[in-house]
Amino acid sequence: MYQSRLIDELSALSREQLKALQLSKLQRQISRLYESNVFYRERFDAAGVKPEQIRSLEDFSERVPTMGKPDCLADQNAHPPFGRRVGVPREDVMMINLTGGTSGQGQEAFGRTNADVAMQGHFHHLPWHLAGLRRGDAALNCVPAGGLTTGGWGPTEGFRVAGATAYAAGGVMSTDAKVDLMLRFGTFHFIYASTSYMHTLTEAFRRRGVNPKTAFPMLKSLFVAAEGYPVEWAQRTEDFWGAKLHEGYGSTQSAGFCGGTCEHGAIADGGRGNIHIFEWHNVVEVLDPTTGTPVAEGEEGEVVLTNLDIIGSPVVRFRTGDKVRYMGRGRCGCGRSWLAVEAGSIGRLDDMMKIRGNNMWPSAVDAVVFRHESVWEYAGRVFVTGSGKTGVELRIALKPDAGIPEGAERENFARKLKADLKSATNINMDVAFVDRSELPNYDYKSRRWKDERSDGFRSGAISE
Amino acid sequence: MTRSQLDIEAQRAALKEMLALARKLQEQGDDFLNGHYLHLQERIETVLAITEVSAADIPVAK
Repeated sequence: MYQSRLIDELSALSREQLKALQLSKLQRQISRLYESNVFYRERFDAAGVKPEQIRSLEDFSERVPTMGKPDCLADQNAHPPFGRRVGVPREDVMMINLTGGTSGQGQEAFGRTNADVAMQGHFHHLPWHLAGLRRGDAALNCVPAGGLTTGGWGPTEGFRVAGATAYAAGGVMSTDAKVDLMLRFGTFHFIYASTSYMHTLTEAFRRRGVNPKTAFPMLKSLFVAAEGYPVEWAQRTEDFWGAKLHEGYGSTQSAGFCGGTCEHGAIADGGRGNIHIFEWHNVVEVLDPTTGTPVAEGEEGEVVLTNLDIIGSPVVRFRTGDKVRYMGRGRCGCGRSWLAVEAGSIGRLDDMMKIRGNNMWPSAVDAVVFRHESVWEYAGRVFVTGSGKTGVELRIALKPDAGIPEGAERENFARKLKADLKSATNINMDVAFVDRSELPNYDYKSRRWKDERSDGFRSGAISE
Repeated sequence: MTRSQLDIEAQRAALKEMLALARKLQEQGDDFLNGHYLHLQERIETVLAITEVSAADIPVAK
C-alpha cells in the first residue's frame, strides 16, 4: 500500500511547528545570502538589518524591504547577464530561466543550480502528488516542454521524480493530434494544462464525439494553472471528464508551484476550494498592495514571495503583482495548517492577461500599434472561439489621412502589424479595420482590452 | 506484499551517508564523471532539504 511518511508528517504539522520550521529555514537562507550574495547583502545593509536580527517572521516582514521586477532588471543591467543576485559561481549555473519579457520592461534572468533544477521538479511533483498522481500513472502534459521558462522544464523533472509516464505533447502537436494520441495509448490518469487549454481539449473531445468517461475510466485528475475560471465551468469540466479538477499556483520566481489544491480539489461543496501554500519552501505574505499590511481572512491582497530552498537567483520579499484571496489557515476540510488562498480566482493587480501561457500587458500592444502614426485608436478582445480556443482580436481605426487605402496596401499593413505583435508578445492576433465611431471614447484611463473568456467558459458547449 | 518503511529521521541519516560519499567522488573522482557526481551530490542535498520536517533538522539556524 502506498505510503509517504514525509507527506503525512508535513500534513500533520501544527501551526506552531510549521512556523518554527519556516523560521529556521528563513534564518538559514538569510544568513546564506548575507554571506554569499552581494546583491542581498547590500540590500540588507541599506535597510540596516543583520541576519541575527531576524528572530521571528514578524521581524522579517518589518525589517526586510520588499523588492520587485525593477530591482532585478537594474541589477542585471549593471551586472549582466544574471545580475549579482544570482549569488553562485558562474560555473554552478546549470539552467537559465527567463520571464516572458512581454511587460515591455524587460526579462528577468534566473540562473539555477543543479539543486535548483531538482527542486523545480519537486515543486511540481508535490502538488501533483496531492492531486493524486502516483508512480506508474500515465500523464498528458499539454504545457510546452523545454525552452527558457520554468514551466518548460519543471514539469518534465516533476513527472520523472513522480515516476509517472509523461507524454510531453504540449506545443508539438495539434489539439486533434493530442486526442488521437490519447485514444491510441488508451490509458491516462492525469492531464496537466493551462485552464484555457483544458477548455480547448474538452471542446475537442466533445466535437469528436468521444466520451472521456468511457474512453479513460482510469482518469483521476485534471490539473490546471495560470488562469482563473468560474465555479460552473469547473463543475461542468469535472462532469464531462469524470475526474477531479485541481489547480496549482506558481511563477518563475517561485521556481515552480508554491501551492496546490489538496485531495478535495479546486471546487468543493458547490464553491471554490483552497490552494494550500507550501510554507516550508516559501514565505508567502498576502498584503494590502497600498499599505503593505497583511489582509484579513476572506480579503484580497498581493502575494509577496520569499524562496527558502532556492540557491541560484532566489527572491526575498518579491512583490509578484499576483492578486489572491487569503483563506486563512486550517479552514479546509483536509485539516492542514498550511496557509490557503482561494482556488480559481487568482489574478493580477495590474492589467496583465495570461493568454495561451504568455503574459500579455496591454502596454506592450500599445507600443506596437501606436508606433504607426496612421493608427487613431484600437480595441482588443480576448475570447473563447466556437471550437474552444483562445482568440485575440484587435479592431483598429485608422486616421482619415492615414494614406493606407483598402486593398493590397492595407493587407500589407495588417500583415506587418501582426508580425510585430507576435514578435512583441509571442501571441498571434487577428487584426480588423473598423471606423473610429465603432470604438469607445476614453475619458480617463484607457481600457482598450476586454477579456471575455469567462463568458466563453460559461457559455461553451460543455455547459449545455 | 508490504515493505517496512524507514521513518524520516532514518531516511535522512542514510542520505547524509550518501552525501559524504557523493562529495568525495565529486572532489576526487574522474573528471569525465564529474557532472554525474555533482548531480548526485546536489540531488542528495535537495532530498535532504525536502525532508526537513522540523526546526531541529535545520543545521545552520542562527
